[in-house]
Amino acid sequence: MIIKIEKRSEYNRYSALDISILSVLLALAVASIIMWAFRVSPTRAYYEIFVKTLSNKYGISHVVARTIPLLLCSLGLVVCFKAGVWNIGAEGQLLMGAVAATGVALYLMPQSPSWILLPTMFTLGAVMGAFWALIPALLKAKARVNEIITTLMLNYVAEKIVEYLVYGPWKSPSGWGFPLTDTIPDQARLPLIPGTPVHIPTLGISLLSSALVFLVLRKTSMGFELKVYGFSEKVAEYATVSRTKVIVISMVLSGALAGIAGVGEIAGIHYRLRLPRSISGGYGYTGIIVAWLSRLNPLACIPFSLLLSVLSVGSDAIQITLKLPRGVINIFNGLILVMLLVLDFLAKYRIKVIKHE
Amino acid sequence: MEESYAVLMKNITKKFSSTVANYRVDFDLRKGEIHALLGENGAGKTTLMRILYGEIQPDEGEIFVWGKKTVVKSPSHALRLGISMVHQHFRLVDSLTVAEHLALCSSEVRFLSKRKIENLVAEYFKEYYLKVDLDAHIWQLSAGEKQKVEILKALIRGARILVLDEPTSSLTPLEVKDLFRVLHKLRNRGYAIVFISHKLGEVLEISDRITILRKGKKVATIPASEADPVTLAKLMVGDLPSPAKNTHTSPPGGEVLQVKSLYVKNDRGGIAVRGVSFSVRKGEIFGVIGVAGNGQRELAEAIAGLRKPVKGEIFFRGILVNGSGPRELARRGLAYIPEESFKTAVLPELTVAENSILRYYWRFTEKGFIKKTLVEKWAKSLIKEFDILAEGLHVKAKSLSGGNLQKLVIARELSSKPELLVAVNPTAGLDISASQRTREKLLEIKAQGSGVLLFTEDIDEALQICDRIAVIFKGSFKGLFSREEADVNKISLLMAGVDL
Ligand SMILES: Nc1ncnc2c1ncn2[C@@H]1O[C@H](COP(=O)(O)OP(=O)(O)OP(=O)(O)O)[C@@H](O)[C@H]1O
Ligand SMILES: [Mg+2]
Repeated sequence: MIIKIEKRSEYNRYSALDISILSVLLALAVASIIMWAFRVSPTRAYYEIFVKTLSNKYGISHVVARTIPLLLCSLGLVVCFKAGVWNIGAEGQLLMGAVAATGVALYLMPQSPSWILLPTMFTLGAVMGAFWALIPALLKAKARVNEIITTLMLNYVAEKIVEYLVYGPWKSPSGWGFPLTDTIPDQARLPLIPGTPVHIPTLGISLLSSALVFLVLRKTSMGFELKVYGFSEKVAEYATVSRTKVIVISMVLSGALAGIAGVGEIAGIHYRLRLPRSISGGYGYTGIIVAWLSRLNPLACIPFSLLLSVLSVGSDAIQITLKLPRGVINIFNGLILVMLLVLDFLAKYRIKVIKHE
Repeated sequence: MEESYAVLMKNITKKFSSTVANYRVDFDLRKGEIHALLGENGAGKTTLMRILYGEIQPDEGEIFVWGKKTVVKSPSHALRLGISMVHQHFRLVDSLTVAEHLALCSSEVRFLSKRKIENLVAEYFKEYYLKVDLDAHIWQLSAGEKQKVEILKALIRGARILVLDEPTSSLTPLEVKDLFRVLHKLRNRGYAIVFISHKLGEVLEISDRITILRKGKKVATIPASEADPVTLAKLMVGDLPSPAKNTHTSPPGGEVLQVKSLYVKNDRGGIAVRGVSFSVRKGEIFGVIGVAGNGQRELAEAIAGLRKPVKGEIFFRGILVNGSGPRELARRGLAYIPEESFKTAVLPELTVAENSILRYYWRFTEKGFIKKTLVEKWAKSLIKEFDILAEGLHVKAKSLSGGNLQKLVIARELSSKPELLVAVNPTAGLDISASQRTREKLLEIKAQGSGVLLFTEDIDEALQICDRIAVIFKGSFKGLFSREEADVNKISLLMAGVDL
């Protein structure tokens, strides 16, 4: 028996968006088999995830709150991926933004009024995130070091830095020895939509960023350069596009957006630095999935970020109500990504099994 | 159905959104014949053959293979029917070796065993003069060797019907001769071969019958023995264009480019250009003629700022530009049509409009934004002035025919108002009249005062439009002629490396 893979002859009937939606649906279908194995009714689970979550203010507001960092991270990744720069370090860039925000609010200028303090936190958070992305960018641009490896490794370094800070020098003296810093002063906290965890300024920034990234990619010469470089490094050189500029700008932009997401988590949700897993919950990684589902369209990132945060909030809920093990959300994310890759492949190629004569 | 027909295509119609690429075309291919397909750029040659190869489906029409009515569903189906196609632009993977490529094509070799592959190809090596170095990587091969690998691939897969889409457009004359020897042998063994080319001489030499397409329709099928260049050209376009003449006589101006004892390395690290010195003046076409692979690519890339010279100096408009990047050179007025421009000078996935500004997008930028209306106006004028067949400004460039894609590159570079144009084989893949028009355009920009550095393999082209001609061989210049003193015999001897 031979298994043959061949290119499909005509252009496939399915648009990229169809494939995105189909892969989410397929992932949910496969996940229901897993639920079965845990003797949980999939209909009940999906009812809880989608209907219950979205039918009360608590659920909706948490969905929106989680959409904010997810959207910010995915937007930056869209910029990088468009240029063929494989940044998977949004997680670390977000954490470094969070570190900067906490540092500013607790140690650098805790006495300042809000109107100075908050902009400083955002600025330094963005700078810190950008800096964390600049390291792999320069290594790639100047020494051709593979960015996938460096960005991934810097995620772990960022986690270790956060852990060091919350266990060490920044640990709150009044925190019963828990790995937490002091809470940040009131004037360092973002205004919320009353009764919800939705921090308004960051929500605004994230939506505005979608529009801006869309504009940059579509209309500017920068966007053109990213696209050309993303298609071919060789043609880009011929087209007089600067390789260093493309790599550095896409990474820095991406890092800054992730850094801002980190600031939002500190100043809008946690009000203190804590262990990395509590701060981020993998927004930097989930952002990769959102970017692919959106087909690198920054506007499509909005609905897909919302969708994945519904799944995230919903699966937190069913962990408790249906006694499913922790990490259900990871199953969803993983399945969606796998389905997306498989369907993308099947849309372009046909697999044939030929019996041996 | 007669047994001797390998392929019979009847009434084939294929429309793309607004283009009729093929309209009621009949085509037949006999066992043991070489059948040439002729036609202008965009006439529908590639489309017709992609239909036969199962890459695209016709809207109407029937196909008979070996006398049996067949719907060719896909390329792999075509291969099972014994049909194989070598595309206009190679689709080999640069980083693989020849052996690896052949192993991938064969169903007998499951694991990469050099001995097995050697056994497999030994017959073809001997019988069909298809010898290639199995251990070489694809990127190390010349165009002629790549063509051989493609043909070997097809034979190993058991093809009896071979479609070769413009196989000779980047081959040296010697390689063409080599290829023709292979094709003759294959024909005599009963293979059926379709041969697409714009070079009438080649077509008349190699083929048994010739089918001419014009604007998607079949005009005629005639035996090669009854054809001559004039009739063929008339059938293709209606008339033979009169050759462009270099009549501009006003003396050339100052030097726009000076190259002083330049040394440049190739990708493999060997010296490709050895101590070349020359200059190009304003209002002059300076021709560098030579067989492909004698350092032309490296010299052109060094001048365009895409390759760092090892030694020597390049002055552009009086300024030393050795370390300058491509942007700075383009900004100062250097236009560049590279060799194999379909690979390095266009992006097939971008639109025609986007490709029309590829090297000059920064000229269309204001405060960081690309001015869409300016771009559209520009792209439209290119399409009009250079007769580019495209369904619109915003279709992907990959929907253009091979020759029209090349025209787009030429149009963009020639219209950029260059001080110096560096062009490597700009007429490769163009039909006769488009080649002629391109030469006229070169003369036009020369008359406007631009300098042109033209790399070509075609002696006639060089004699027709160049003011001075240098012969390049193994990275050195072997002689410099003004047009008046240029002599075909002398030049061809120098091109072949004979020292005079
Ligand atoms: N996928 C496509 N979408 C739209 N139009 C297409 C597509 N493929 C080909 N065409 C159009 O069909 C016409 C015929 O193209 P084709 O490639 O067959 O020409 P050709 O005879 O091979 O020309 P050339 O000598 O330039 O290679 C052209 O006008 C081309 O633009
Ligand atoms: Mg063609």
